[in-house]
Amino acid sequence: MSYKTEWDLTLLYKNENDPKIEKEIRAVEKATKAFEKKYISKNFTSSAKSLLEALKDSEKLGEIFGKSFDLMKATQDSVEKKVVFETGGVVLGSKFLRVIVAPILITQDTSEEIIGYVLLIEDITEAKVVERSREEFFAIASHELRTPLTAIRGNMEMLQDFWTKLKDAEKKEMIGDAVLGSKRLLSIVNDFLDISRLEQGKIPLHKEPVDIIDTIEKSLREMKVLSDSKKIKIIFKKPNDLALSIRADEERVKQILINLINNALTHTEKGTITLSVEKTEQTVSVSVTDTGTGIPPENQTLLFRKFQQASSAVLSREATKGTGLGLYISKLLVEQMGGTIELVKSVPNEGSTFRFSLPLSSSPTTTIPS
Amino acid sequence: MATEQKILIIEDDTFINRIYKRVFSLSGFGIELAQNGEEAMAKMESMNPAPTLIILDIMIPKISGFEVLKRLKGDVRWQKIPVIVMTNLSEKTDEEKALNLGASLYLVKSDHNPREVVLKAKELIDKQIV
Repeated sequence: MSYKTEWDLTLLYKNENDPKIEKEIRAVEKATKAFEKKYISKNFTSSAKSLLEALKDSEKLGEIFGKSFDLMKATQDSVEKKVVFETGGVVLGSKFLRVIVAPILITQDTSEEIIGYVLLIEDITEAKVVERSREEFFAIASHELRTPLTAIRGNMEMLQDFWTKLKDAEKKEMIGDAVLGSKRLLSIVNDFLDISRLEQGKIPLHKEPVDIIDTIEKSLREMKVLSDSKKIKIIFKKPNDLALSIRADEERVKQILINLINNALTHTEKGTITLSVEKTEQTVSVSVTDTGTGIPPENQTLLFRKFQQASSAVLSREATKGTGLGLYISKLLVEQMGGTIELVKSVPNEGSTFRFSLPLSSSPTTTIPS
Repeated sequence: MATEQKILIIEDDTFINRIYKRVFSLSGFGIELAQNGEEAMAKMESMNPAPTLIILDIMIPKISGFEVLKRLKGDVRWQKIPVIVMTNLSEKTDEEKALNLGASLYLVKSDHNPREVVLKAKELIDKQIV
């Protein structure tokens, strides 16, 4: 996996105005220009820019890095050992940066003199975010697997330990709970398997004409128990054009629909969920709109990422329903069927609209990668 | 038992709170149930006498289990009541946090037979009475 990183480079001289090293400075600048042209991002983050500024001032450096990181000392070390010095992750504001320091040496007679340093700064924030969300994922995944396991184990052991004390109706209920627990466990395991297979392109997807209206109605029937129990009304705005056929895998389209409706139900306490269908020249898109909690703007870009949930508050129950894999799986499925999925709009405390589009079965451009 | 000893179970997952309700009542305890943090604090105010022991989950709606624990241990009326944190968060840092906040025990739910949990609860209650 590769991450988008941004680089910046700067040159620091001990004495920029020393005429003795003018020639060397020009040579170094010429060499770095070429590198800069090739690798340096033009829209480097402003916080990194402020670090660059600060690097020119050792007092400011102390303020930024404190005792934990003495850049100038590190630079000296790197010179003595004649190696390039590199930091791990340096935190600057909300950014994680990697700083690389290379000494610029000139040789005079037999001695070497440092005339300055090349500083290369890399913004590794995105990589860090992914790393952290992966750690959170394992904590959440372990929790989600253990919960149904507790229901299975607990009920079974109680049946074993208290068999003669339990009434028949109780036994029946406990066996029922254990069965439901094992189903819940199975669906989580299936999610994990789906992801691993989808990522490797190993899930064979059927490419047949699918009646999207019929598929939506089937999905709604499956979700009825849950929506009834939450007392949330689901409205399906049926389009006038009743024969809408897409080219897809019906079971997988249902899986995407159920995931979106389930998410909407999970995050909606009152109000409605509305499904609508729209036809364009080559595609059919389905929108799912809820009147739920909405997603804070800063989290919206992370939604379709693996392991990611809209909220990173691991310990709040509202924030961690499920493993955070549903939208990621939906995205993989939609894309493998030649379509797109997106968050159309989301306003905190007002609700969200998700939409996916799949090619019409009559569409001439329909191609499904195998 | 002169008066019935009551356990307050703070747990939102229906499947799991059914298990603990059942095993504690089979073992002769009275049960009160709270399904979120707010309800738990309300139960604490209304229960008279206060519960003998509290079973507390961490990932619960409204007020987190850690916050409930903090409030319980910060209140002179309740700070001596033993709290068993029962969670499926198996991270070491969560355990340390709970014990630092004053939990008597930190148990990972899936690792314990329900009857074992009752035995551990009884030990804690006996220690309390002595």
